[in-house]
Amino acid sequence: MKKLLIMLTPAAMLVLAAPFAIAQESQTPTPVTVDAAKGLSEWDKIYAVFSHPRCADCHVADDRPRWSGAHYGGTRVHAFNVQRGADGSGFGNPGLRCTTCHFSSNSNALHGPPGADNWHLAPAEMAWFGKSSAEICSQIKDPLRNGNRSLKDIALHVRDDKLVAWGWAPGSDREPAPGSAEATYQAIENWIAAGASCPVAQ
Amino acid sequence: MASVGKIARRTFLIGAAAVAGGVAVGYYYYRKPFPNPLEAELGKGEATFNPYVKIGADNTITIVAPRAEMGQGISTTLAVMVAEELDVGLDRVKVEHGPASYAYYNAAILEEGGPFAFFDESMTAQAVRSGLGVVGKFLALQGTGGSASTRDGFDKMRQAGAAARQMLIAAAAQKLGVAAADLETADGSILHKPSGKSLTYGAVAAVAAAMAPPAEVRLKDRADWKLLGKPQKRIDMLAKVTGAPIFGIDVRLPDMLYGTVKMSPRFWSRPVKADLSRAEKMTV
Amino acid sequence: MRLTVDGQSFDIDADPDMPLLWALRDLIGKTGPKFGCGIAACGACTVHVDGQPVRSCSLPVGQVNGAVTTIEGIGTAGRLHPVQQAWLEEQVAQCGYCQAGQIMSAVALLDEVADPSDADIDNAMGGNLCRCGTYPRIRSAIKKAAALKTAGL
Repeated sequence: MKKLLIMLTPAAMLVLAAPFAIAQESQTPTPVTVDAAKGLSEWDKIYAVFSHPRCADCHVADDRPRWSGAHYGGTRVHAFNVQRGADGSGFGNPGLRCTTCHFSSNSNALHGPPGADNWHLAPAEMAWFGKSSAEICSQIKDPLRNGNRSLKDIALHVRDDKLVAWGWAPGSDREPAPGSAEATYQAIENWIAAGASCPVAQ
Repeated sequence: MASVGKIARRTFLIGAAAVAGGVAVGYYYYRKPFPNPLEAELGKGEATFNPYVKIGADNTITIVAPRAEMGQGISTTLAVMVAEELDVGLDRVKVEHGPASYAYYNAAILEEGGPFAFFDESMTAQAVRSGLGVVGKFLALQGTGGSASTRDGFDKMRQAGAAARQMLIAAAAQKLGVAAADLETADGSILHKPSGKSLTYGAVAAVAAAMAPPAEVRLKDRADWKLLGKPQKRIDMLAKVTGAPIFGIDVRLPDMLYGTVKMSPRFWSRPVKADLSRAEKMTV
Repeated sequence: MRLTVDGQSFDIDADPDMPLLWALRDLIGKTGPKFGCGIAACGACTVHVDGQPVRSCSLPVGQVNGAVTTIEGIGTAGRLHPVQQAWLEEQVAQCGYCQAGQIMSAVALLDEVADPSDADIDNAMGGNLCRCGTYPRIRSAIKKAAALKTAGL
């Protein structure tokens, strides 16, 4: 895991990310009282969700979703040569789409494919897998890397999106993401209210 | 492996075979040919020459390749052996697996059961091989495995085709009133070149199949082979690219019942208890 | 429940949770698609729904929104699909059990990529396993099929 962190953490990315994080804060219309300690404790809850395998395994920087779970003996790349897709769509390749196997609901069969509407990879720039808390935090605040969303948009997305919701109801014996969609939405709201501070990169 | 033997008979025969070679009853059983299982299931107008060849009055030629086809191509290989000697192209024949029968015993499957490499041609190895081959016939195992099917079939299948061809020629000679030696065969027909007359195999099949099998079966010279030794298209390929119902799971029979195995989701774990009461109450 | 399969409409009485494969094989009698693993891990059951490949062993029949096409619907012995024709010419199959699924994935690939590279083929076919190991012939058959298709055969 540590090795991966190092591999996937090019220093350049951090340097680039910093100005955007500042830009985002300067756009905020009503200045909030920055309570860094409160904000960081809320962020830790958010990070626990985003970095959880149920979320991070499909928020990858490369082209391959990951599989995690006790019976895999750790995390590995998804089998069957499954990839993001030559068109970069995140929906797989012609002949082998994500939706070739992942349907609208979890399979009832042991080790059957999990499912939710619109099963696909997050865009590569939204990578969480193997990223540090500081890296994920700066990505979340960067409109160039968060799908041009405001932090409020992100909170709503986390609360309302069906594919995101799957992370808390992954079916079978998969470990769900911590908390719930609603609790994570609340944490994001609280984090915004406390000034949306990010942990310092180490 | 499809064995149609009964334990008691098997035990007796193994015992008989084990008494080294000299037991008359054992020898009798070894030499006696098994009955042709195709006799029992001939269609209208069909005639059978031996357990491997059926020919219909409409000239439909059916070859029985009695080994399990699991992708190794054995149904094609065995059919080619018969077709070569029968002088028909592979595209002219239907290939069936045939019924389960002693007649389709695999002698070669046991021949290599001895502790010798297949290329070991020492006297001991050969003796053990032929001994085990005899046991193979006594057991009458219709088995597929051990790379034995081709070796087991190589003489048997060619002889089956050649014998049928000789019988067809004899019947045609009788019908045309010409000498058998003046007749040639090609692609399912018998030709009398001097007169230009010809007959299909189907036209003489019924008469030919009733004749006594030839005392001496003449096999083609290797140099005259048209099919053997050359790459062939698999006879089962069309079925396999069109999704034809050719697999065990595709079989539907009247009043068929279905069963399945309840397996542990974890390796090596054993059932602690099982409640079978509901299953036992089921009526079928 | 109504299901359109290979251009024909079927009325079936099925639990919406029943896998599409069961409905196809047991209720409709389409035995071309095969049961392999039952968990979308082998590809033998691949069919198309509105032209997109799906593993019918894991797709609940109640979630099928569109026309289903099986191996029996893309071509027949007398009128083979270019992919089937290429499979025949390249003598791809050994045991053949996975091939209905292989062919359906290949058809889906060629519908979107007319002239696939080796990488395109690997990316499309990775979910279809062949225990006989016919992969090299599958690859050459897909290339042949692409040529047959382009030539309009």
